Amino acid sequence: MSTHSPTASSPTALPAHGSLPRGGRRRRALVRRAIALATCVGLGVAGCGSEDSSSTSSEASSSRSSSATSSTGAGKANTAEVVAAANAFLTTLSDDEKDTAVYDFDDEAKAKGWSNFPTALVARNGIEFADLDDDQKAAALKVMEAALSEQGYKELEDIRIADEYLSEVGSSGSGGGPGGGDDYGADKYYLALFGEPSETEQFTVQFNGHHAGYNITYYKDDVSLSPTLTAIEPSKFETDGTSYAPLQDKRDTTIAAIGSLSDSELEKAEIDGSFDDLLLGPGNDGPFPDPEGVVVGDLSKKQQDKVTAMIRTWVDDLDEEAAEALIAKYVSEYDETYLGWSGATTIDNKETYVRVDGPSVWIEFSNQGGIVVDGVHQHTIFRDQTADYGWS
Amino acid sequence: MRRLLPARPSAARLLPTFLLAALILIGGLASPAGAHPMSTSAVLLDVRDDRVEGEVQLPVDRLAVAVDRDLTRETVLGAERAFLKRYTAEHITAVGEDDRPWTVRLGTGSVRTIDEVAHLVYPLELRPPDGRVTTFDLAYDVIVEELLTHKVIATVRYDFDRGILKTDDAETLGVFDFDTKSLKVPAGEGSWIRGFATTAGLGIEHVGEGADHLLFLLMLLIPAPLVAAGGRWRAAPSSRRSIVRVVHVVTAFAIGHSLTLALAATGVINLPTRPVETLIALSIAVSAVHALRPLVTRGEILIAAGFGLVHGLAFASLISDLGLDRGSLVTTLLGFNLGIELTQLLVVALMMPSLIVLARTAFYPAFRIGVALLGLLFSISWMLERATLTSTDPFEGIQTWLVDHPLVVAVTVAALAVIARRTAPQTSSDGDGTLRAGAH
Repeated sequence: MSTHSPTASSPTALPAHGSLPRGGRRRRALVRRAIALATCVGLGVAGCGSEDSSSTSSEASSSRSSSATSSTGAGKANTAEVVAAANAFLTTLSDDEKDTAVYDFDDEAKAKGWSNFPTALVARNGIEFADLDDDQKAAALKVMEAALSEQGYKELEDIRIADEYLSEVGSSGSGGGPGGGDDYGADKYYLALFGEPSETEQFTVQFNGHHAGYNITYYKDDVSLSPTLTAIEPSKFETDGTSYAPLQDKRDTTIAAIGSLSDSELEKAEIDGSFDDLLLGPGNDGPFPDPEGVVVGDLSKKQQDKVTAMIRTWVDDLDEEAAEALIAKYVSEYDETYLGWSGATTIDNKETYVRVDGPSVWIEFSNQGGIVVDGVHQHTIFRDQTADYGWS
Repeated sequence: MRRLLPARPSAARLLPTFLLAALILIGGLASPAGAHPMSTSAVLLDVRDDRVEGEVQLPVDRLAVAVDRDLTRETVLGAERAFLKRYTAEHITAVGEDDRPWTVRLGTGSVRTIDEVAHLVYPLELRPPDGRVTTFDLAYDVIVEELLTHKVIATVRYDFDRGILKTDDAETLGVFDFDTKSLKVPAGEGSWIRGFATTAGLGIEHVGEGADHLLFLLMLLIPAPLVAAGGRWRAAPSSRRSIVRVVHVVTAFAIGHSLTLALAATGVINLPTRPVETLIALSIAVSAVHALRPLVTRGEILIAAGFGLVHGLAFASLISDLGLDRGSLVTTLLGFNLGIELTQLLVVALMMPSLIVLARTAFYPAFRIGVALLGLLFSISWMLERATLTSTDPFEGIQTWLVDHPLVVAVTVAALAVIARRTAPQTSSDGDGTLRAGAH
């Protein structure tokens, strides 16, 4: 479906009951093909964030400890609240369910088991909402509510509603892409914890389904939202009498930031090459390419404010106080932060691609053609280059 | 705001999801690079002795972005044909271990729909200057030189000496992307032994998982401990005699299928698949009828040899899919046949002792008739399906289960033999014969 299988047959064609009574062989072939596929894409995933450990920051918080972990965070994290919510969630689970939900902090699955492909195509880490009862699900959402800001949590809920919407309209399939709408849904989301929730040791909350994928790592009073994917299809929709436009703030501020550049600045800001998706999306954790674009520190105060407003719409998804501290850190790095674009700079063009690339912050905003329904939609990713999946 | 109440999906709806998820977990858990289901390029390589062949598959819509031209299924083979071939060739190079460049040649392009997306496909040929294929570096950035988010999956589809054959076990080499523009292709490694072992494994797999071949063999084995007399089956006078007959049956089958396998694989004979498959179903029916009532004296040997010829044709159709070099054909035939014979012998070793014991009890006629009727039922169902008279085979589930659990089947028959030996009266023949107490 998504990726070339070497034998060029699509997974959808495989379970067919063929004419010959050799289902066993066919199944085994499928396993082999899946292995080949998985291996190949595994190779495409470079070592993630391996260069992070050497980074330092003048604003690093007091949380730096004598242990091997060196945090580059900005402090002010509401770690205690998230630990409490995570523990409350874990108490709703049976031992088996807990085994499914909790991993070692440095389990390699962390980087591999999340995606915005259909969950049938890339197995997700953690426990699926569809397998939780109402109380468990509410407890799971409480973890995200604690970790995210008010608007960040609303965005997450709206994205889940959008996925549910896709599953309802998707069967009619007006979009051009191969992904069917019923691959998605509000309950096709997973929660996983990497490391036991702790106020002294690192742990990551991973929440992922289709168009939302959060990796939020806590270490004492530092927090990293990296990497976090937020995306939406369709950009605007109405269901059950309510209108939704998740990511509207991200769309508006991004177009405003890139639109504030003069013609000559735009020319300088253009990134070589074309992008039909995120360069460093799920499964592509690096390396971060050489910076391209205009230096934000060279722009006027007014333009810089627009860039800050743009960065803010991603970082603000995180709990309010910690977000403020991180934004201050990213703004302080503007002399080494680049704003770039490729393809186009308007919201309705499917080639529009905008990137912010600093010593720490990394944001990609990529317009997409319709997959399930017609029209442009967005994929975005936020990373902190010094704290991808936490600190080492 | 709309509430997201849990709507528990039915288990049936989730089953395919779980299956696929499980498969991917088995595969080592990795996420396809990129984001949405998105068209990727592919490079497939067939490593031969003196050259590397293969093909390049380019999704037309991504190619259009990369070259910044409007492309359609028609124009890529029309107005843009020469330009695209030049563009593609410019972005593929191969360099051997001695740092000498290989010649890269693209064949005539065609358009093929792969995973629902139109692809421009070029046959590819890489030739080392000295005609000796060694490990080489393949540098490739078609499309991805401009479209940085593009992925190119590179696969070795055939390398006999490394045991990679054109079945489903193509080996993924890696992914070309914005950061990886060159991959090392291992070649000229391994030896014919790897290829031989792989083909033997294929033979084992093919027979071991092919319900029809196994059932045919079983139908022939059932009357083996008996002798035909006056149009009926009777117990053989001795176990030794039974064993000799089994050897005859297995040998006859081996000779039959080896002959046609060799002839078909070398292209001397060539028959369409479906009639062959239908004939195989017929072979089971005939052997089942023979197990019910002897058709002719020593009929099982005639049936084994005669229909062995048909089974050999089916084996050959698999071999022809492997994409073999002339040089490796003999090795393949030997390896494949070895695998087939080993599996046959294993089936005989698993079943025959039980059958010989059972054949000495009064329970055997019921067992023999029951199994033969089952075989007849299956084979008729296959015949109808394979002759496209029916669209599905209602017994496929049972057959698959039986084939997937050979030890359960063998242990069940063995248990039956033990029980029958202890409870049913011992007979010297498969019917109304005289008692041969104390014979063993």
